[in-house]
Amino acid sequence: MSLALFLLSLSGAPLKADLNWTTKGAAIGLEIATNPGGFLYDIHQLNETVVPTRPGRRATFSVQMLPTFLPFTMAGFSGRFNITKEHGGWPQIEVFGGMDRMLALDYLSGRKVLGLINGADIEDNSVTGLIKGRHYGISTAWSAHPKARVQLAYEISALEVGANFSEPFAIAGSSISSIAVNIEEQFILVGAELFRGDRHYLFTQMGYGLQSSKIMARIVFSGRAWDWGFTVFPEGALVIYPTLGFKFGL
Amino acid sequence: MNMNSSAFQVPGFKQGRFFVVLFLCLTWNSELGTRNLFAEVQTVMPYYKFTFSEGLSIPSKGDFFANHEVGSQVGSLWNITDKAHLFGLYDLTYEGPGLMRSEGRLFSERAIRHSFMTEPSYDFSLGTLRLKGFLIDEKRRSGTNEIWGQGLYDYSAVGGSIGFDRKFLGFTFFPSIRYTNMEFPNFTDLLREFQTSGQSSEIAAGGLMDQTALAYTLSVTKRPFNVAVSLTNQEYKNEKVVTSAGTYSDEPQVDSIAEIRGEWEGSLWRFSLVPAGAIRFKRSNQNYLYYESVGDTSPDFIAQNFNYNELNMGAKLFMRLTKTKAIFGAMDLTDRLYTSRPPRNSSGVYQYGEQQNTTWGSTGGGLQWKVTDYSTWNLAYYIITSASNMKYESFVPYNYTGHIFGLWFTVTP
Repeated sequence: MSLALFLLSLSGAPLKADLNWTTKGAAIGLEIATNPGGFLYDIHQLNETVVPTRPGRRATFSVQMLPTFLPFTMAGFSGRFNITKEHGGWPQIEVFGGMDRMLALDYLSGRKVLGLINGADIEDNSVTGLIKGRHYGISTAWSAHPKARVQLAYEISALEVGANFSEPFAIAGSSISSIAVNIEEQFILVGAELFRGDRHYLFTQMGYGLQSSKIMARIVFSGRAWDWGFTVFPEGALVIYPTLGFKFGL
Repeated sequence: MNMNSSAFQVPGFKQGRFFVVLFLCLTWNSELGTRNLFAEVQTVMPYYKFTFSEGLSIPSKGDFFANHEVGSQVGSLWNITDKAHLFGLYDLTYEGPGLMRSEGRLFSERAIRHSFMTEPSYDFSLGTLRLKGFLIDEKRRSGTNEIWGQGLYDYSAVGGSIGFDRKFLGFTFFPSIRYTNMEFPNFTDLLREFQTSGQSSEIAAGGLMDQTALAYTLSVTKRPFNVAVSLTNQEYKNEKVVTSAGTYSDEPQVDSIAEIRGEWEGSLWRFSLVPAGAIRFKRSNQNYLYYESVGDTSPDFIAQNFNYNELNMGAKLFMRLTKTKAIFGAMDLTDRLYTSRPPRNSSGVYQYGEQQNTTWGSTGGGLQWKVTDYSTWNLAYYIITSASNMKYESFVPYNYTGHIFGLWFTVTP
């Protein structure tokens, strides 16, 4: 009988499915409101350096543009330095690290301080505090084939959030008056770099957080100067982020 | 409050095998093909595989959501001598929310699984001896509001297998035996908690699903055919069979699953067709007691509640457009009939005289293309349908349709 129901449903009659953006938006908003630190930590992790330094290079420096600096004003800078090149069965070993900071919060905090000094009334609805992060680790890259390298890496990624809102802001029926979170987590990263053409690579990576079992997946189309792709935090409030970053190597 | 004795529906780990979204399986087998990373014979060869899917699911019940699956495998093959090989592998898989579940699962359920596997093998003149040892740790949760590590169906497993690969008359025979010891540290049931309340019952009752499983499999391959027959026996260490009197007997729960599955892979010009099918029979001595409320003095007793017969059929058809692009269509259908379990109406009342029957599957297709020599991508659309005479859907949906749009890709299959 259920086979008949199945075939009936395939015929198109009951194929109703709605896109209710309002309830979905509220659900995502509530998720951010109840775990703002987790959401900000996702943004921080989008600033991390991901792709191993290209063979023949000594170091890589990178700046992430989307979706960190724009639109969240989370500005970051990171670098990778080769300790050893791949040789005689040894992998390429490099250390990497970076820092990031939310500039909007610094700007607003500065305005408030300025307002207090000058006696001007510009601190209303303002926010003080700081959001800053750092990450560092060690990464190895092994040639599995002339056109493919496998990456194994270990990383520590930390975020400090201390923000106070002079007037609580409402989000999805909840209100937030302050956020104070320190998150530090160790990650195991497994990835692969596939050669596509002259200085163009496809890089895929999966990360696992040892403390909270956080999962992330990254897909990066790496070019001469620009890296673009997307990052997925399956358990995050906003699951998928398109990414764009600039890099240069030495 | 519903008081369900015995297991909550069907044991979790078996569903874990079906838990992988079926359409993923349909698309992972890439028609365009990607070259294996074992391209050059070396003493030590690294191995890597990455699978990823990201989609939008729009079910007829509940909100739309993003579905995602991510998996990474990293390992190495060590050719110790010409005949002796050692393969080691670590696998990390995340199974996110998804529509295409086995029967009786929530869309929002998710799992993280770590697996370690080592496979020594030795080539004799008669064939290849394959040994395997594995460790699995799986955590589950029904949504982001739960903490990893407290899932009812969390389990760890340790086991090993031995098999012998032998070519004979053009056929490849591979008989094997696998032993698994599984522990479910959080698994309990409400009846036991209720009856032993006040004695930190939840903790005391954990591990109810702990079991050993012994599986015998014979696989026979002759291209383009592959047929496998397997029999799995699961013996529960702590779970006892529940009786109609509302008590547990001394008889431990014993399950068995017999399965026959087959696949055929044929190509003609630009087309290739891969039909596959499986028949499964599950038999369990476990019964089921359904309490409508805490004070229910006459609970429903369903003898042999978990026995079912299941038929699975599927096919995928590829048409190669260019060297790097193909279009494909795929269909998959599973029908499960519980031989002794009656369905329930929308109020939860058992409809005696009928058998619970659910049919679910997917139909769809899309575009497949290669981004590099080692990476195949799929952009696809699927209709998901589940239809059942089980109408009690306060917790788990049984009758729904859904649409999935998504991107699936794999690196070095």
